[in-house]
Amino acid sequence: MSRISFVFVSFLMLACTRSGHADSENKLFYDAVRAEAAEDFDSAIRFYEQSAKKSHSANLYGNLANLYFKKEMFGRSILNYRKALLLAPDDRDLATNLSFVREIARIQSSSLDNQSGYFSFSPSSMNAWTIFTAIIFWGGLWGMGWIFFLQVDRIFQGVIFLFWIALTSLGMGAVTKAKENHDLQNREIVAIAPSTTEDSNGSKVIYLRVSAFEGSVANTSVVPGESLFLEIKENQVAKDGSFKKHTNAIGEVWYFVRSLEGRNKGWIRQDQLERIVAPKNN
Amino acid sequence: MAIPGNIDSFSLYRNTIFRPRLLAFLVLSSISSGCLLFSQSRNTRAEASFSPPSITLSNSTIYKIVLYGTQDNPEGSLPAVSGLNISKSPQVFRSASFINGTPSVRLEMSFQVKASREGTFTLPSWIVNIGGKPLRIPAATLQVLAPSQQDLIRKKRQREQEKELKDAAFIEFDTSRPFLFEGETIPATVQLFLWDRLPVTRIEQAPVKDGDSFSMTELRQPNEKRNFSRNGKTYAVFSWPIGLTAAMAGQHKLSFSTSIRVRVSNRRSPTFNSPFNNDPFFGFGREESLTVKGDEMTMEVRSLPMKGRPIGFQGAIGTFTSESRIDSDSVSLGDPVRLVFEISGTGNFAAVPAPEINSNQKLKIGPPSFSFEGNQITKHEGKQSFEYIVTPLVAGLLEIPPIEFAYFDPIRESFFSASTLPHPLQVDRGEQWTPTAPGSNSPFAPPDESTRRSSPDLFQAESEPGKWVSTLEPSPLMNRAAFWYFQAIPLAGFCSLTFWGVRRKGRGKEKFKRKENSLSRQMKDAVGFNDASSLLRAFRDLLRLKIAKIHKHPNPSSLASEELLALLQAGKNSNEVIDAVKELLRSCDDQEFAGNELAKQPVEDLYRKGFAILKKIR
Repeated sequence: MSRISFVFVSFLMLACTRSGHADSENKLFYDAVRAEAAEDFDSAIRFYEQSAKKSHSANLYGNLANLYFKKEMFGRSILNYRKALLLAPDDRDLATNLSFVREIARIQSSSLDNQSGYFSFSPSSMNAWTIFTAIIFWGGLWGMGWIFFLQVDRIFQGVIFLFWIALTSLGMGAVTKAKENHDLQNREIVAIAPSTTEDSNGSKVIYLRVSAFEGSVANTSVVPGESLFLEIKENQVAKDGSFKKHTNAIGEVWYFVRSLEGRNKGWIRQDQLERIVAPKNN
Repeated sequence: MAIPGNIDSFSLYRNTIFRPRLLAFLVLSSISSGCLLFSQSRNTRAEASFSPPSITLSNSTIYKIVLYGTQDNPEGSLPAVSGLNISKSPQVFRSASFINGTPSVRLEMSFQVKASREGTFTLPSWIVNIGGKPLRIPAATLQVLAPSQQDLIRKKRQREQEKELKDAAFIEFDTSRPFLFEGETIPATVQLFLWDRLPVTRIEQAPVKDGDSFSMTELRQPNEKRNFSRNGKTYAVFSWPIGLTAAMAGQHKLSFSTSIRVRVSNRRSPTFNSPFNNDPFFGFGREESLTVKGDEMTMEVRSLPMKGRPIGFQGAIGTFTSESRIDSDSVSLGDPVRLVFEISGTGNFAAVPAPEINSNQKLKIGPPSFSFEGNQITKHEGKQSFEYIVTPLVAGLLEIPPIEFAYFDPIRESFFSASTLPHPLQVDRGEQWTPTAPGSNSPFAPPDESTRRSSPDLFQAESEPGKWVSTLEPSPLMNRAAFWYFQAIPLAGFCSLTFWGVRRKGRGKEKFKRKENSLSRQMKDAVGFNDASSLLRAFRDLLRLKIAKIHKHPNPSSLASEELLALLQAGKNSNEVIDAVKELLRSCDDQEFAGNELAKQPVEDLYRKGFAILKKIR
């Protein structure tokens, strides 16, 4: 009896903790909405950012992106639209706003979300492709077994077998491609101006440097909001900690990044970038 | 054998001589065991008496029962005597001793007894059970005399001390009205009076309410007032303002109590009953807790009248005024507007819920936030604000509907309903974006058609957070162990299906073989019995089986002669075989329909011919 009570009480405490957690992020969200209504954009941004540290929602990132846009901080606006689109990939309003901000910010380089063919094998479609492949594989295997024992025509068996193999191969190819895109997305960063300055793109550019220090010659430059990809160390898979980075003598952390096509590459300081999918420990 | 015995005796002697503790243990053990043996072998008896046997009314006595010859716990119930108050928890004492060289055990039980009147009281004889055996306790008599002069003086002093104590520390409770309505909140004050000569070191806890029919607001830091005179004494007064809310109708009792810490002398006498005789400034005192109780008062809680109760009444009781405002009367589509509804006055603010305003097709209204300005302790007087976020969903001149607020006025003892004015809200379509036309000078490609917005406005703020998720992107299904464990289900199904199929196929083959052997045996038997008819029938069945097996026909028994010949031709058999089969099949048919005509053919020949054909077919 006491054990049941203990489990029940533990469950209640857990539920209370969970609900309390949800309440806090809701409260922050509504506080932000109120601050936004009062045109106190700085407070609203602060509340949204605090809420985003606790949990995630498409509307939260959408509102945050709108606010950054109003503050003409296009890099952060694009970053948050991208986050919102990860949670609501079919939201046309968010996609339209993102396109608009990109146009205003004069961003020309490619990012993962506007690559042709990306939508077929997007990271978000990986689970769907995995399920599809599993169903085709097992369904086909069962069907083949059934047909074999029914002793139907051998030609029919052969056709069915080839069809099954083709569909399974398609599924596995799609899963592989989606997995590649998923890994790529985990490496994707958005260039932002450091928080102390505005990234309004008027004259602000972010340099990709030849060497990992501030005085180094720049290979090229990007504007806030452009997508770049963290370079992986040689012979390593894309996992946190496997990216090519350097900490210089004054403690600045620099990452080696390149554009999707690979034309632009160079070192960028840690405070000039933010990952779209933050690592789990953040 | 005698030598070891001597050695043992010697060693025991040596141990007892040189080890006095062991000796004492042995002596006590022998006494205890002797007592035990004696007590078990001897009958038990009981004595009962009052000690002292006569007392004055203000004193108490002891009712003592002594059980000789046992130390077991007795079972039984003490008889009740009118006018005597006997305690339920006796003191028990067990002893063992030697009386005139004879071991004896006994059990004593002492009950505290106090009389409520004068007279002679006899506690009658009663029975207890000891180890399942009944034992009669004899009767005992107590004489209670009138209180002596000394008793009267002591009692008077005690009363005086109690009065002094009551005058030294007491609680008072003040309300603005002697009655209140169910659900109404009224301001009240709880005051703790402490005589300035009382050596109080601290107030241990704020006053605690005793009365479930009321709820009150939290008690915070008290207001302190020194040198307050009353009844010729000077007090320090600590007062806590509270908001008192009645929970249910009726006459309900209410009182408050608290505990204070006072310093008393280390001397045990006089006792704490008279702490005021102890000078706190001399010597080292000790602290003791003292409970201070206020007088119990009865308050009337009236029910709210049913007559005239508005539909929208949600429990607000007090005297209120209400108003509403919006922070902007002209906004762009999608921009949120703050609607503030305020109630000010006196009443049960803590229990007033937010008025319900429903969203419609033109306006989306979010949940309100609460704020209260005023007396935060009692929450009885002030201003309660409810702030709603209103998001216009369509462009044009909209109207934020009026807010109805109903309340009960306890002064005028009737319901009132107040309504705010509607607020017009001009909503324009907001900033619009036209995608760059193809072929223009813009370096940017136009967005995909699918991403174009159906509604012309941009950057609408969502007033609801939507669905919360714990991670921005869920981990892929392939990375979860559950997914791979789940694959075991279809795998197990597939293995089962394969196993079942193989077994089924094996059984089918076995059955076929058995049938084939049976038919072959039938053909042989037919030769033995010279039965051409049976031979041909078995031959035809065997032929059907063989051809069905070769051509994987699911139902061999359904094959007609023509079908069998057609299958033989499809199997590229020689014409010789086909002709032979045709002849034999015709013989079978003839035999079936013509009977004895063909029975003249030699059966042995038929068997050989048929057997040879069966070997050749493919």
